[in-house]
Amino acid sequence: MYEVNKVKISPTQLFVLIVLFEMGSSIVVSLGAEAKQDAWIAILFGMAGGFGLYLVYHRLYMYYPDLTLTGYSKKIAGKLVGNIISFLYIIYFIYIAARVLRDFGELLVMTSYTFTPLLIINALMMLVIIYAVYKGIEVVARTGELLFLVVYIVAISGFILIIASGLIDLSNLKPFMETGFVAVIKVTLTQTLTFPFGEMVVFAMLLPTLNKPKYAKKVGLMAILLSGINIAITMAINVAVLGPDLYSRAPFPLLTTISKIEFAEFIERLDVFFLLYAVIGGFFKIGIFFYAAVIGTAEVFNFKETEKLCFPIGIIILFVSISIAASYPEHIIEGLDIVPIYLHWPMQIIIPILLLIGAYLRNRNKTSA
Amino acid sequence: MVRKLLLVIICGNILFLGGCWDKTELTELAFVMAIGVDKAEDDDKFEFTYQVVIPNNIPLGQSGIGGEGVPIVTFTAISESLIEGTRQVSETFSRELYYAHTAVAVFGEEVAKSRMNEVLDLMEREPEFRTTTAVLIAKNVKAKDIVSILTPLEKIPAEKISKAIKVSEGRWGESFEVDIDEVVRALVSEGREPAISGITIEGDASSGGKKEDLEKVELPVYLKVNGLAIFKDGKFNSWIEGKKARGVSWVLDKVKSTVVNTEWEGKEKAVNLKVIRSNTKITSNLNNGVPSFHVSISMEGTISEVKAAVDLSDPIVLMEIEKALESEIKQETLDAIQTAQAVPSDVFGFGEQIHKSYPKKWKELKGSWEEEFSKAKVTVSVDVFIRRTGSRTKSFL
Repeated sequence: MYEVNKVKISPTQLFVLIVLFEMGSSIVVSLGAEAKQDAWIAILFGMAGGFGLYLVYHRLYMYYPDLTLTGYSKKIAGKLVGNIISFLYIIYFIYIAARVLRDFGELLVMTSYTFTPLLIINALMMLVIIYAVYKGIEVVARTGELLFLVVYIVAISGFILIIASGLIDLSNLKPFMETGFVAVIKVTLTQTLTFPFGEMVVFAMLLPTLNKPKYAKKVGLMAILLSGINIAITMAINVAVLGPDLYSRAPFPLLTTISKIEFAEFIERLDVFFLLYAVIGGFFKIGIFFYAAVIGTAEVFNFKETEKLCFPIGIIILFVSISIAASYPEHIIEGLDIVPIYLHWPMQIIIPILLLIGAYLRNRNKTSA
Repeated sequence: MVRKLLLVIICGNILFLGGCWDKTELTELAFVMAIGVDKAEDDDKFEFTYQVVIPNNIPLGQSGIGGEGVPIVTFTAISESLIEGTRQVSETFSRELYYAHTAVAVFGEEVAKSRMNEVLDLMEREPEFRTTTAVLIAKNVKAKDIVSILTPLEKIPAEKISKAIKVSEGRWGESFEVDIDEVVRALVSEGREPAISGITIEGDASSGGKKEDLEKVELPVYLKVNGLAIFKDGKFNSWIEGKKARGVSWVLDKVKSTVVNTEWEGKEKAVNLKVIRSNTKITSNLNNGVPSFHVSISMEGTISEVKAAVDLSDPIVLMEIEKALESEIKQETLDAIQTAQAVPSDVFGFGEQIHKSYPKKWKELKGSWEEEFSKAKVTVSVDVFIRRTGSRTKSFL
């Protein structure tokens, strides 16, 4: 069996990783923009759905506490089908990691490094991530504990400054549910449920590394709750500061919100807060998808020295991130219209539920036999 | 060992090189402090005027070392778009125009009447632009003249403009600062029109901008923040001035401090109140589908000047003064509202108010909102509290 059981992370580290992962790239974009001022409701609905999905992943983990997603899909669906499923997941993780890397690179190019080629920015980021994952998930987790504090200090001071600058106009959040309940549910199902909450499927690859398995459920749900509330508050603040129109037209509304801070005549132009957050969030989101792709590959192809997979897969992610779309709008349209329906839904929801049904049937037979 | 050392050096270099890719030295940049946008003689084109700082001519600190010549220089470009104009200027200028410190964008009346939104797009889209840049309309003069004038006190004229607008918002209340985002938001919204402060030149505009002028005690020509430009259908329509402009500020809750006065025993403007706090709330109602609005203003202030024998030590008298002031402000506000309704131009965002409170009704109303707005019933109530009377009670008068 693959040595995934050798590395161990603590419940606290898992908590931190989930929170950073969930908030990663979702806080910087205009999430649920089609719901306009009700984006935050769509996010909370998405979070509720995220609880359900996490319980599915967790139940599968309870059936096979020592195995990753790629491990138990073989046990449940048989060797051939299981390997195909696992292979699809590896591709999925690589693709999503590349998407996040592209998001991150576009963000930096668009906002501050206007003349720097995307490839250079992405390459620098990817090199750091390859290095961290090469050192193992424990290193990533420990980095997470440290940077979690940084993120919260930045977030809380940013929050206080936004309030202190008198930017918040809560009446921008009205009228409540203008587009109607159905429209909000539609945004939830096509966007906020799958991004970021459904992406928790990647933790099905990480749960076996937890050193105290009985905490998995509690830690996971708490982390989703915390990150969900954080994202919802952030989006509500964005709408309250910018108004629904600008919120849905700005590619990175949080940046616009932060750049509006003007406090006490000298605390202003705090864009660096945003960039700091974007780099930290991007690092963990890409890192975790990347790690899942690496250990998945090692497992499917029976590769013993996992670390050696880091460079090739990392380079693949780097080049995929450049080649998936020719322009930023193309990248975004793919991300909003195609990826959720044709990728997120099957990979995050349909296959895990089918696997759970399979696991249930197999284990019932076992006990009755 | 050597290999490892080499690796460290190479990787170390990468860390530092990242930021150098599109580095620009300070000496390669020209800081644009203000932009003036006018309509060019050729109808399709704009005339852009860029006010650029000459860093060497800015005196350092209190002692004023340096600063021999004029602190600014302006360049003009005639082109169809702002970005084209920006690049065109490079033919005459040795540095790259840099917008991150642009404090004000001044639009000429002609542009505001027709195509202001075309220029605003770049200002909103370009990340180098701060969306906190203040927008102003040049009143009776070209935006070019506003941007080209030299000012006393503040070395950089753009700074003078942006400070003047802030100070007048904070102390007088007849004009207020509106930034790019707010203008765009009002342009986009179906239930609000922009109201943008005006700036004008007093004195002979053509002689302005000379350094000798600044050496005179009485300035022959100077900038003045004045009036509010009212927009209709996203285009400049007319000016609101003086007390009426302050009426708009009251409704929009933009007044921070100001002076209000009333007559006393037949004497005009006999009692002056220095407002120290003011707060406005707008509520909307639907009566049989007809929208009506109620504006309630409450303020606190200190009596700062009297020109008649008023016994300020008597609370009953103070209450009477409060009443008189209330009706003055109420009139001022109603005048402003009526002027806007006559245009009609919903600079108060009453439509947005309906949108927020009655989203379903709004869908019916928004098509004909201008008409609805001009007919809407608006009531105003004012609460004035006099807290103190300064450092004397009874006046010696």
